Amino acid sequence: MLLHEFRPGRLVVGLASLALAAAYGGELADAWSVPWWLAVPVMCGALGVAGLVTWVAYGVRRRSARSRSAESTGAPASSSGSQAMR
Amino acid sequence: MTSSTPSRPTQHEAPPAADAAPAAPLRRSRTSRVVGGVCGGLGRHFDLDPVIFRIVLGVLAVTGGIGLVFYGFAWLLMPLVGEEESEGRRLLTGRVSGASLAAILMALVGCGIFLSMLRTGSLLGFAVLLALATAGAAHWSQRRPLSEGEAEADPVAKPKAPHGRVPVPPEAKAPPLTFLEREMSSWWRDPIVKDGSTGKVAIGYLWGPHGIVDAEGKVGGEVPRPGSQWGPPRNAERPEPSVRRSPYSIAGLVHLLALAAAAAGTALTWDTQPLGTSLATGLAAALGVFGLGLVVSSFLGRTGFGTIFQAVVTAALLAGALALPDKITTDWTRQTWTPPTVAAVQPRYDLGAGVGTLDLSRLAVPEGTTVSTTVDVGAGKLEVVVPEDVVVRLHAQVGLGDLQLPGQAPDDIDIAPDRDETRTLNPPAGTDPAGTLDLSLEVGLGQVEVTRAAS
Repeated sequence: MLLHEFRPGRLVVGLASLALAAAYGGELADAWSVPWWLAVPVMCGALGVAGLVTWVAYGVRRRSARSRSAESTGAPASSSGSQAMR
Repeated sequence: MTSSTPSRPTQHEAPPAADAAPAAPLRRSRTSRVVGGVCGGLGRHFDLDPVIFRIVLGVLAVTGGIGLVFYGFAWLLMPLVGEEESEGRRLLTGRVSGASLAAILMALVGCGIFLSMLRTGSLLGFAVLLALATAGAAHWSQRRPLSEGEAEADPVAKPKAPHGRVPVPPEAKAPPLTFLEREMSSWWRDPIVKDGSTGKVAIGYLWGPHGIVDAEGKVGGEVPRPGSQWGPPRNAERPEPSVRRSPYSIAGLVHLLALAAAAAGTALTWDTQPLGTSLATGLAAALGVFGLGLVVSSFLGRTGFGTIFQAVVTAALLAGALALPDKITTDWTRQTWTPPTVAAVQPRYDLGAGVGTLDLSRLAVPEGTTVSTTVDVGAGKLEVVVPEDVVVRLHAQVGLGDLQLPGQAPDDIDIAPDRDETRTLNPPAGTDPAGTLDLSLEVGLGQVEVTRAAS
C-alpha cells in the first residue's frame, strides 16, 4: 500500500530542500552566487509553512469527514482511518 | 523448564542422589528478578541469597561503576532460564532487543563512572576487596553443601545432618529457600511463622518473589492466576491486525539513496576540488535526494519526522561546508621550509591543509636590514621558528583557532574566531643587535605557533 491522501506539508519541505540543493549546486558549479547562510531562512520558512499547511489540510479533512458523517449517506467518518475523526 | 506446573519436593525426603548433582547452571532467573534477573541467577547458582548479590553490586555500582559493568556484561552473557541463546549472541546476530540495549547502556554508564573515578585509588581498592570477599563467599556457599553431602552419604555415622544438602529446586518452583526453611532461621531476618506451628515457614526475600508454591501448586492456599508470578503464562495475546492501516514507509530507502548520493558526490570531486567544495557537492546531492523523497512521499509512501530532520541537518551541514575557506585542500601534508640565507627566503609560502613549518633559526639577518615573508596555511598548524637575535614584526590572522607566541605556556590554548593580531617581538636582552623580520601569517582553521630559536 503506497498511495495515500495528499500530504501538503511533505511537499513544501521537499520542494524547499530541492530548491536549496539546486541553489547551492549552482553556487558550486559557479553558475551563480548565493550566500552560505541561505539554508537558514529557507529551511526555517519551509518548516513553518509546512506546519501551517498541514494544520489547514487537517482541518479541511476533518470538516469534510464531519459533513459526510452528518449527511449519513456514505460511509461513517471513522472508516477514513483517522482516530481523531468522530 | 516450564512454569505452568509448579511443584516442590517435600521437605523430609532425603535426596541422596541429588547430592552428587552439580550446582544449578548459571542462568538469569525469570522469576526472582528486579532488573535483569542476574542476581537471582547468581543466587541460584551459588546457593546464596540474591539480596547479597544485589547489595554488593549496588555498592560496587555506586563506588566506581564496576557493579554496573559487571551487571551489564552478565546480562549480556548469561542466557535466560530455559533459553539457549544469551542476549549478547542475539545482539551479534542482529536481533536487537530492549533488554540487550539496556544491558549495553548499563555497561557503558558503568564504564563512564569507572573512568571518572579511576584516580581515587582507595575506592578502587575497596571495590576489589569487596568483589573478592563476595566471590569467596559465593564459592564457599557453593562448595559447602558438597562436602557435607559427602559426610551425609555415610548413613550410619550421621543419619540426619542438620545442614544436609537438598537439591536446588527447579527454577519455576520457588526461590532457593530450602536451606533456609530447614534452618528455620536466617542471619538477617527472623522467621515469620504464620500459624505458630513448626511446619513450613515462609521466608521471603526482602524483595523478589512472594510466597511459596506448595505441593498442590497453590500459593498461600490460592491457585495462582494465569499471568501472575506463579501462575501459568498468559497465552491469549492480542492477535496482530491483518490489515495494514498506514502506508508503507519509504524513509529507509530515501536514507540509503541519500547516503549513496553523498558518497558519490564527495568521491567524484575529492581529487579535483578543495575540501569545502567537495563536501558541499556530496551534501547537496544528499539534500536533493531527501527533497525528492519528501515530494514523492506527499503522494506515495510514508516518511516521518526522521526524514525531515535529516533534510534539515543536511542543509545545515551544507551551509557549513560552503562556509569553509576554499584554500583548505583535501590532502593533509607536512611541509618544512628551511631557507638557508636571506636571499633564499621567498616572499610567500602556501599550504592547503596540514602542518607547515618555516624554520628560520639558522637565518642570519644583518643589522639594519628587513626580511619580509608571508605564510598561508588553509587548515592545520603553522610553526615558525625565528632566530634568536632578530626583532620580529608579526601580523597574524587566524580564522578560527589559537595563536601561540614566545613566552606563552605550551598548554595555554585559547581558541577564538577571527583573530587578527599585530605584535612586535623584541629579542631577549643581551643578544647582539640584528635586523628585522617582517612576518605575515595566515591560518584559516588551526594554530599559529611562533617560537624563538635557542642559541
